[in-house]
Amino acid sequence: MKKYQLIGRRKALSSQSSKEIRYPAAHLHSLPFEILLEVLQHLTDDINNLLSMALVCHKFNSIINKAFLYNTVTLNGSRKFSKFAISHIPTVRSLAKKFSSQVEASSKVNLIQTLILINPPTKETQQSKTKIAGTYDIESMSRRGQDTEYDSYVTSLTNFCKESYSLKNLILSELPPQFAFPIDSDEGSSNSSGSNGGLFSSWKREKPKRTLSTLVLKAQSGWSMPFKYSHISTIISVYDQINELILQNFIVDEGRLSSYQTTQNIEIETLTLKSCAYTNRPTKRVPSFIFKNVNHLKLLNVSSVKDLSVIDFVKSNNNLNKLTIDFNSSVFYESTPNFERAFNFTRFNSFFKLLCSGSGSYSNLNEIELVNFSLWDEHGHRHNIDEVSKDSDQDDWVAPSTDTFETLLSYLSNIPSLRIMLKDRTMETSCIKCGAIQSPGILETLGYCSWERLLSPVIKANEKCKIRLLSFSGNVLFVRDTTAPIK
Amino acid sequence: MSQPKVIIVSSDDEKFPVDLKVAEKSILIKNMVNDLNPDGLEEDFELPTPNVRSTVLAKVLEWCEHHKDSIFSDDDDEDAKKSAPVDEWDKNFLSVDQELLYEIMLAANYLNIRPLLDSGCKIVAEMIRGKSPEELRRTFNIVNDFMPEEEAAIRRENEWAEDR
Repeated sequence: MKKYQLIGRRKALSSQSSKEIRYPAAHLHSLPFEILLEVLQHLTDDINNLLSMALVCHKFNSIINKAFLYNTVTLNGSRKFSKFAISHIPTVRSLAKKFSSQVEASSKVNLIQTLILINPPTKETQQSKTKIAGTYDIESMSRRGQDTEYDSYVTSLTNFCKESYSLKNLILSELPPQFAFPIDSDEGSSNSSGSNGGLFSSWKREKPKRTLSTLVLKAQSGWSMPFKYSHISTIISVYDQINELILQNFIVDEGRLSSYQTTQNIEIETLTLKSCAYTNRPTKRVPSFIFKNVNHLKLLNVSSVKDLSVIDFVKSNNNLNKLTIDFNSSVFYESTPNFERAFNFTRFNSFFKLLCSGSGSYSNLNEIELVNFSLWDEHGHRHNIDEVSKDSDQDDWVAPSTDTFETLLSYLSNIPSLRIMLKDRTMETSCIKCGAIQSPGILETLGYCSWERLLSPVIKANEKCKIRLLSFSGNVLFVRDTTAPIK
Repeated sequence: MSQPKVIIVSSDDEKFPVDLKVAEKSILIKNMVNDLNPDGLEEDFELPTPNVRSTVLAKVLEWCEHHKDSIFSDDDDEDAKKSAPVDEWDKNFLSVDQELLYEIMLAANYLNIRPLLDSGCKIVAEMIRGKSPEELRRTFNIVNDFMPEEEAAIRRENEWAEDR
């Protein structure tokens, strides 16, 4: 007969069952969970109050652990991380783990949903070492110390990722320019790479697929550093899939990224580049191994036209089908004589025409999402200036200008699915053409008919284009859902 | 002719006739009155509150009466709500024994009177602030259900958070 056992840790099973204590209905201990959460929410400004409350009884310990202390863990620097690692992360992964509870991860590890690591240590390289005359011994000792610190940091982080099945978001912030994980970090541990299993692989049970929702890498303030495989190698060795990789202040060096090959299967679905630069387009384009599965690219805060070329680099994987573009990016605007900024239709109308054309290498692109869209502030009303005299001078045979907002909208209509999210407005804005004042949130109050009129260039130009217009807070303002099949 | 009243009946069958404006501080009552009287209140409207004792209901309605003209900040603005100090009148009003305070909070939660519940939560949070675990147990009459080694283990496990 088969024997079944509930899955659980030895620690949990061996924990002392507390004596049952009954409290009256009108007692702090008996208040409903949502009220207790609200009370404790007012104490988050000083962690010591929560730590004290966690030591009062089992109930408060459990609430504080789950909702506050271990929900999002922020660890600044390697000292803080090692302090956390000592009591929560196993450092020895060997046979001893099976027989000793000392090396088992603490149960709190599986409460953590977001881990924020600030300023992780670096492995000092020979090149980056500064020589000081006559201090060779001291220098080599300190370097050894740093290496140990780095090694234990990487080992602990790897073990944490392996043990924490609740982790959704991993944020590595203030990354120093020399930061890198070891490239050969435990490549065999991921499921996908376990296909070389040989004799035993046929009967060995497959491990569950590990997915990390978000991996965020932020370069140290003031730096822009080239993104390398070694920035994610350790994380990739544990997780089979990363839903979204967010890079902030990085340089996407196509030459370097294209040259890297690995046997590791890297599944990154969405790539978000925030304030990132693009460089080094090789003469012969080779799809990047790291970005081979990316199907959604988000470009936020783009500052240079050259940086938009990253779209071509990523779409060379032939998987890219959704593109998100931040319309508040400085790249799209030019300065007016009054030092105000105006959208550069002359330059970017043709760019969006090509992007939405569906032809050639853009044929896989099915959806375009424009976020922080604010062009209706200027182009959503009739200007209070007399433009008749200007128009009357024009000859009938001159082709109408294509450098207009209406033309941009009609080009955008060529994409099968268009999604526009309005920019958050907290202050009054004035139209740069006529000076008309627009109060914040006025666009969100417009009805369906008004939006139908404002979106008419898209609606009329392509009746098959699916349109979805959202306010900054995500409220749907306009939808046109066609039944046209998407390519 | 006088305005029709909302008569709120406590769990111990005591009746509290109040103006609609006062009763509407409770979102639960407001929605119920609006749903059942879409053309406006034309006659007295009786509403039972089986979870609330008369002593507690009297206190809650006293709060509603005092704040009938108060405008409270937007429900969505959590940060503003959290940082706003407790109104001086509310502080004095809620200076009651713990049992009554929790009953008022429970009634405010049931009747959906957010500003009263917020004030109650802030008062309890202030009672927690700056106390040691032992002081907290004494203040709130909570029994320590930890084994000494469990308590030591929690202290050890939470050490990393102490100076964050």
